[in-house]
Amino acid sequence: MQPQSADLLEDRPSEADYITMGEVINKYLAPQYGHSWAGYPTLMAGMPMELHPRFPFADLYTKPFPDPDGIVKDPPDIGNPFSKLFDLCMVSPAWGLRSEIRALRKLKRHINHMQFHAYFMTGAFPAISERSKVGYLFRRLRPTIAFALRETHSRFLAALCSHPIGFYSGTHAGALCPTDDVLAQYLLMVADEHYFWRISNQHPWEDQHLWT
Amino acid sequence: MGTLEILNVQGGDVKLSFNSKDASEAIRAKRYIGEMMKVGFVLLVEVNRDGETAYERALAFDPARGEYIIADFEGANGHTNGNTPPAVQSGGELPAVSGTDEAGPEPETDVKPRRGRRKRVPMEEANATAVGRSAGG
Repeated sequence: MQPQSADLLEDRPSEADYITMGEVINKYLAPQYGHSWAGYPTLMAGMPMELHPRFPFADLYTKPFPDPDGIVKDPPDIGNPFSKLFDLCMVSPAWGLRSEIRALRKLKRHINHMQFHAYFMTGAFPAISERSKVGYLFRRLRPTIAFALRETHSRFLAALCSHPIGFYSGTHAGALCPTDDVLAQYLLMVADEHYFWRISNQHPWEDQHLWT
Repeated sequence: MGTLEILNVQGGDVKLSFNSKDASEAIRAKRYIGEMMKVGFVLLVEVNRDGETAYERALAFDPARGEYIIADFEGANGHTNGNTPPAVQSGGELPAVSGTDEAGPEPETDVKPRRGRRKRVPMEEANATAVGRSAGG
């Protein structure tokens, strides 16, 4: 039986096996304590988050949250690339499929066809700053690579990592769905490149997590 | 009609539209934008630069006039808005360059950072995207 297109868009399972603290906050706490225009991230069992300290309820997200059986898992092992990839998979139910598809549509409006084709097929697209002529490789669920363009080769400058609102500790997963994270970084780069560099963490070439 | 698209965790985004003919809607929109700027959202305003769509970060918002205040276009040295590119920032703001066998970017000493002019963009005429505060990564 061929899958229907609607199946691809099916959002979260009805019997969720993860804890959607974002929904709890939105429903019960936010009306009383304040609304967040960016929404409240979904906290996954055993996956603490790092949010901007001034984000409402930021401290609630910083500790590992128990899974539905009440078991508090160990924090992710950030020293192990395999563990990092595995944790990334574990976080993925936090993002809605519809959100990601909407983000893809938004991204398509902002970049050219070749860039979008590259992104859709490979999860990365290149862009060159009109201001500084610095090249960037925007990557899905990975830090953005900045490089200096030379006639014969390109030179690595830095890997820039920033996540609006926050991210899951020890992973490359942001609170926003992956393509929205990429879109935010791209728009920041074209709008104010200096600001983009300033708010991003810069990872060195040797950081093995850049390449896993 | 201007719009403001807010990158949002749950639905993907929230979109606000501003109708200048509806006074109550305009007042509400001004309040929302003011609130967002206050809590640290970055507002990226779509502008037309030489016939092409470009973006500028809103440096401030004037709620009385309902206008985004952005850096103005300046063509000096090929840089478009008074911001110097990352490689030529001074005052300790050079981007960290790491991990290559070559030296870091060579500063273009003839380029001096300077404060750009400001330009106002009415919110009813602009499309903008709001991005939450970054927590690093």
